[in-house]
Amino acid sequence: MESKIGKFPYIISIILNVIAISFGIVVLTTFFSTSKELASQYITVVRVCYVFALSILLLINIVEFASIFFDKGATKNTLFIALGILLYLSTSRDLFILTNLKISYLVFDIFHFLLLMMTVHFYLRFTNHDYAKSINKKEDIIYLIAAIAVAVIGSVFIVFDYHLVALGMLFALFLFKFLKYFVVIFTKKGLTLVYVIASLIAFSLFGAEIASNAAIQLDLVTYPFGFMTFTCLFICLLFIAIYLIFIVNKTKEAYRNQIYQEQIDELQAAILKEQINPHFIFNSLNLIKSTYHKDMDKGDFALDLLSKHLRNNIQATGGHVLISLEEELKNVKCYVDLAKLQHEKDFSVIFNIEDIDAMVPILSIETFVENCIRYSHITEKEDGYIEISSEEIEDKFIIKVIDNGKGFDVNKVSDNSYGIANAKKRIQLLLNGDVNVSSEIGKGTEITISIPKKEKIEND
Amino acid sequence: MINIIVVDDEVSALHEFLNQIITYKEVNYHFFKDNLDDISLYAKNNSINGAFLDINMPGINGIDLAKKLVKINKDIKIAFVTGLNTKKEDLPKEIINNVIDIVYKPYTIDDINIALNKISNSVSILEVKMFGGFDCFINKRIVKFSSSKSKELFALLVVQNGKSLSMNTAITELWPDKDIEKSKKLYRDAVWRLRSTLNEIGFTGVTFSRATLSLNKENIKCDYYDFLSGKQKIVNEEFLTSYEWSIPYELEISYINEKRRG
Repeated sequence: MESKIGKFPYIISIILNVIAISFGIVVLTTFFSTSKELASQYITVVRVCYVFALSILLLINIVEFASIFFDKGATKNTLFIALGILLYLSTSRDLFILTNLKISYLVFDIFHFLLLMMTVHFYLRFTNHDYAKSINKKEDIIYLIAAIAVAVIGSVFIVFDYHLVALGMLFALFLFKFLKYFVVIFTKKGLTLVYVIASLIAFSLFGAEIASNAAIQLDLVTYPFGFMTFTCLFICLLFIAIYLIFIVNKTKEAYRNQIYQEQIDELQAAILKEQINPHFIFNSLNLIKSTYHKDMDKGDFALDLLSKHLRNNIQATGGHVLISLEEELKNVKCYVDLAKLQHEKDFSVIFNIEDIDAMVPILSIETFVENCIRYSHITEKEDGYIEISSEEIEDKFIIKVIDNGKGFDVNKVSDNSYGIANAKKRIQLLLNGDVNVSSEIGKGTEITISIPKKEKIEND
Repeated sequence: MINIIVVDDEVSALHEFLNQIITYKEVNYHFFKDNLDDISLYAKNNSINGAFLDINMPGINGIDLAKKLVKINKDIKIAFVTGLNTKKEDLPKEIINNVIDIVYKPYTIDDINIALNKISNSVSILEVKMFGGFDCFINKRIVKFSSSKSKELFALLVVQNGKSLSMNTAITELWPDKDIEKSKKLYRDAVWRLRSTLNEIGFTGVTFSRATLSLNKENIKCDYYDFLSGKQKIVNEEFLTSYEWSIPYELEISYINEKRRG
């Protein structure tokens, strides 16, 4: 998803909407209040725009419908919004005026009102999925029913006063729209450009409906012919803007993914080169051979270890880039047991493991431990040890490889072996993690790997 | 009694397999080279519970063979025995629900036993010997613990006789002289190693939670438990000779021995 741009643009859209409504009312009262005759050129312009807007809306609907099948992330929300607007335009007063229909528009007023409710509903769902999930669905329906009830009750008064119907509708509309809107904006942390433009679409429609209804019902003016057409045309432009942004973002994302994947592949390929250590393997084979001459079971044990170790290394290039910490520690234990067999002097490896649900790059921890055994000279120390610890602290997993070996000057040697640089890069790239090495000569070395916990990602 | 077939194009692999499973009592096995006709004929005329299949064979690919076997018997359980790097997720969906295991060559007896358990829907009994030295056996083979302390930890868990073992108790008994921080690390190390070992042999009777271990006595056959329950009346050997904390238990055992002697 594109980067979030904060509440600021969203508030801008409210302001724009308010301006649009006010402007609409001003336009209605000043430019259309006097003339009842409509110039024939104007009628033609409106007719053309009407057909044009209708066609684009139809196209948009087809695109939205198709996207449900092609885009895995698509939901039906945008389809219903587009459908709502299409139906709105196709049953608007402009059509009546263009085709000279003499039916009472009252039924269509109520129909439009319900249509707006539907569009608002899906618009809010589009803007805030988890809002739609977290808020009780029953509340939604209550709002809707309340709004309909007001409209229906208001219709009863048609016989007496049409104004009440209009006022009832408007009141319900405002209530429904703005209350929910303000709940949404203050619970969501930050919205993207697409949502800002989508809100402009929604509010253009609402604004137009409210403005025209208000003006008519309050006897300011008869319906300004062409108003709905031009509003919907504007909405079409906004839709196209959204699609363009969508396409641009998808392309950017695809490009970024490609670069990312190339980096990963490069690092993965490098593992095999660095990890299969012939020296270690031939030493092991030698050891196994001599062990078999002394004790068959011990020979089996050593051979099983070497085969497991080799298999772990080969699987590292087989595609699985991340494995569970538990799996990686098993690989480490296998390597450590094998290394211990090779060294005459024993050293202890302490698995100070707290059961955590972390994923690590394959052969990452093992690389650090291998490095430790190779360079820290703990086998020469009386009580040399390596401690591998894991724990969960706040929003991070902390994994440490600590030894009490001879240490080294961190400033002089940047990375003891290429395998270390590779492991570090993979931790950073794949997990956004951090590797910190601290060492004291004569005392030991401590490698701290910190991996942020993955947040639950909401799908849009 | 379960019926299994083993298919591999290399005779030596078949013989090796024979050596490994000879410790598992209730299995009927038939060996086949990679000849589809022989195998299909046998499969159609006999009820096979499980099949151990190599994957890389010249005659027929193990995965294709698995598909054919599943067509003949949709409940058959498949275990692939392979030198390749195959992962379960990469298998075709026609057989993926029938595949109970992928055993990588060279395999251990434990690997085969775990697969056989999955085929026969049974669990291996862990035999725990506490008199005359502490040792554990699964499928007649001695269990090699990852470290002496993890072995000792398991012994301490078993003597709890079904009650949970808390971290504090374990630390007090196993590391009486060390400071608390170091002991906690060593405790976690012993717990991790124990869990690793039990996992490798396929024993699932121990529950590991934050600060306690608990044992499900169901799949354990223990001479100490038999003695306590009276199944075995008198015991002459020493109890858990190598552990210092076993002294109070030894005293109780002598007391019970005396009472039973008359």
